[in-house]
Amino acid sequence: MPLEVERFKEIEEKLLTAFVEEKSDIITLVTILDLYSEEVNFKGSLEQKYEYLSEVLSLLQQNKDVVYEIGWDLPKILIKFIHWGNNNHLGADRSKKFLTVIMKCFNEVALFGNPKECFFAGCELMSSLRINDESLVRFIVEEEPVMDPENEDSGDETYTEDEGSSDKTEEEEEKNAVKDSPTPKSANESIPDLKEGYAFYGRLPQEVITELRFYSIIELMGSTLKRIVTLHPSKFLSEAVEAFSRFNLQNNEDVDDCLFILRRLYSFIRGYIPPSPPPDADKQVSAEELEEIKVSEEVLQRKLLCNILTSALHQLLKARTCISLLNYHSHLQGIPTLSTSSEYLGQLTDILSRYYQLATSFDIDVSAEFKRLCVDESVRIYRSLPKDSEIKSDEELKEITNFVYQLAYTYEVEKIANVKEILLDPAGILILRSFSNEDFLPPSDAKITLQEAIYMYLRFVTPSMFSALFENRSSHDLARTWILFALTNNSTHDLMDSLKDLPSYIITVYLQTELIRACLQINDNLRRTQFSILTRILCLLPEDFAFNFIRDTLLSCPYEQAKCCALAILKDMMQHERKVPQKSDEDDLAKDMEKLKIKNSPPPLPSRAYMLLNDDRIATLHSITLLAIDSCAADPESKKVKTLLTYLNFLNAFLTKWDSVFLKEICDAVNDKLIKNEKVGDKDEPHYSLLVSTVASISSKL
Amino acid sequence: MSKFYELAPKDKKGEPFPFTQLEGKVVLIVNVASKCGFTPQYKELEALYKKYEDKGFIVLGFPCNQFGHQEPGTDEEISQFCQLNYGVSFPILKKVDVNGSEADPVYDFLKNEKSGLLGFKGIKWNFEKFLVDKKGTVVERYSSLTKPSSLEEPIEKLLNE
Repeated sequence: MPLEVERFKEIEEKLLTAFVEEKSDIITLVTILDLYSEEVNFKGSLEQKYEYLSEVLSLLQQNKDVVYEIGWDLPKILIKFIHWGNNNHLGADRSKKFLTVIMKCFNEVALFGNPKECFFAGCELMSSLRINDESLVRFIVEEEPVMDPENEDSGDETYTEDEGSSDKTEEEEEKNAVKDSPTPKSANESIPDLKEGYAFYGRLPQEVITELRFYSIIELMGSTLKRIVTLHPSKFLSEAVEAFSRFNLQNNEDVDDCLFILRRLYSFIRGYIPPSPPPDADKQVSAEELEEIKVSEEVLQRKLLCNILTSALHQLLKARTCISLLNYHSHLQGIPTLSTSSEYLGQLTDILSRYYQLATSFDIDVSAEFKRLCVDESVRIYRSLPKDSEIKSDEELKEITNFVYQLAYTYEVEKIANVKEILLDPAGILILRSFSNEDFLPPSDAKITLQEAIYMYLRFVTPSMFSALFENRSSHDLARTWILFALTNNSTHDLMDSLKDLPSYIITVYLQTELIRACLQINDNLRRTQFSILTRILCLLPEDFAFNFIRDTLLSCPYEQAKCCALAILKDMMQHERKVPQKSDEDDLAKDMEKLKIKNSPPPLPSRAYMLLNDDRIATLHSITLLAIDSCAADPESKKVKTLLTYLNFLNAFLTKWDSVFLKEICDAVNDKLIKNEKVGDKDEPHYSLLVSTVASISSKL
Repeated sequence: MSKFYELAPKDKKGEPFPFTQLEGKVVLIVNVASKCGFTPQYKELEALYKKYEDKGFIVLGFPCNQFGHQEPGTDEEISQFCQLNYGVSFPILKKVDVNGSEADPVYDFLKNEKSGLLGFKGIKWNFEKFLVDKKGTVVERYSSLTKPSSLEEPIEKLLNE
């Protein structure tokens, strides 16, 4: 229900009077403006709000001296009008008109307010802006209650729920009692439906409002910054950078579509023009000092701009993957890349490409910085670790393995704690380097060894195991992409050498981390690609090492799903044979032959599986399978039944190679301990019938 | 002799365009793009060229696709576009990179001689301009926003030196 006509007219008249009578009492004028704005915003119709804001705009235009004084207080009053309740997507023209008048008010503040004060007001608003804020989509009374129109001057200004709705039903009263919010019912009743809004925009209504507020604030910051006169522009730029960083940090997990923030920030960074020095600067300081200040200020501003450019990418792409790994994998398989088929990715490509161009125009040598900050720094984190030969006991190995898990986390925490300079953000550089090509793929001229890629993976991925602050989907995705890049851009010989040089426990930590991450991956395609990478690396490792890793996973990994995946990889390795040596390997071999001066070429090597199924391995797997049966019998939960089924399927694939006595023992154990005893009692258990039929199938072939 | 005259970028056909031929001339070097919001600046650049050509002034356009991929065409296509749409008669050279490790030596030279805003050397967008005097000294650098027509005064000043 809109404000009563009389009350609305009264507000307009009193506002007009206040601009005349309270001109000299700025605090009173601002308070009056604040209270009336809140009342109109909460209770007024869209038409009344538009009329009210038009009146405010007119008053601001006529009283520029007042705007100079109160300007810094106006943004927080005006910004509240950018609200879901005032955003009628079905009446787009009306909403546009409404927004335009708000923007014009902001414009008055930006052009005629005290620039420094208004700039800081903008920074404060930017720092506190949150997507996940209910007040963006519901009218919520904050600290100051709305004035009671009946008792405006009494000083006892408490808002009552009953106001204007004395004929409420009991049910409504009950509902409101539960809500524990003094929000005016009528105000929220008229708010457009959120679900409908989501369907219309394809985005969260909160995000739509945040975007509009973000735009208003960043424009205010940019405009006022240009009007500031100072010898030390970096002080103001650093305030802006700090405000953006806070916004990014507070919102990066809630933002669904980060493109709008990336675009606005890009415009701000690219369009930044430093505030001018005072015209009498040469009278304030000597010419020499002035030059010194100018030079150091330029250095600081350059660093700040480069910092926000890289850290914004890091922060804003934290909660979502750029689908880099899948994209690159598609490219390698010769199928159309995702960046060309998805509208969102297409837009992301475009903005990332602009960030890359901006980075190069800011003299950031992205390729060199990638090498320095992502590759070399990652290698450096792990460089002081002992060689395998220096580790004397299993206990020591266990300790060092745990240490490796935590090392990058400790490093990053210390780095944050001891930071004294304005630096480039390594994760931002990782993004820039990975997407420096038009085709959204890692640059083909890049050079990285598998060893470096694994260190980089550990550095970017493991810290998130200790603190969610370091969880970063895009960095993780890109770290994997670079491993795939290393795997496909180095010869088999070099890859094997690269792995040989790594301490075994580093490889183990990598394999364990990626195996768990792959198991937790909800995207099927991505999970398959992750397993494909793991399989490739296991194939490059010495067979015993690879088998022992899988054995240890089956024996001691707490995740049942990881065991299933390890078995699938093992099956793959045992079933597939190594290909005829690749071209590069042939070349290596030919060179070696030349050196040895052997004229006759050796007979071709017989093809063999990546992992041989020998007696020892059969015995090991047999005993692990029996343990799995016991474990399932002791606790026949669904996941364990599924694992056992995977073991049986694995055996089924190698029946001809397996000892039939062993197979019979396993079938008997499953029958005795699980099926006959009805341990897997729930016949509806999806894997139960499969378990029964698989055992029957194996038994029938014995 | 200025190192400027040691440079020899490629022309649109891939043939060397030695800068020795620019000795004694005032040169305006612009990184151009056909699909940019600033592309209409071609018209003013051509007007400048026509006005001062006889007095020893030349404009050189270096097409570049590094900003918003706004110069995607081949050298031939770019040349045709300039002639057909803006009647460009000043030399449009071969497409180059102006930033990064693959930047053309001409741009490495120009950027090192004259930094941009805040001391950043990199080119920020299409249609940035470098003004070089008769001795091969880079005397000024202008942003994309600077209209070529506003450069008459500094050009005349250099021509009269």
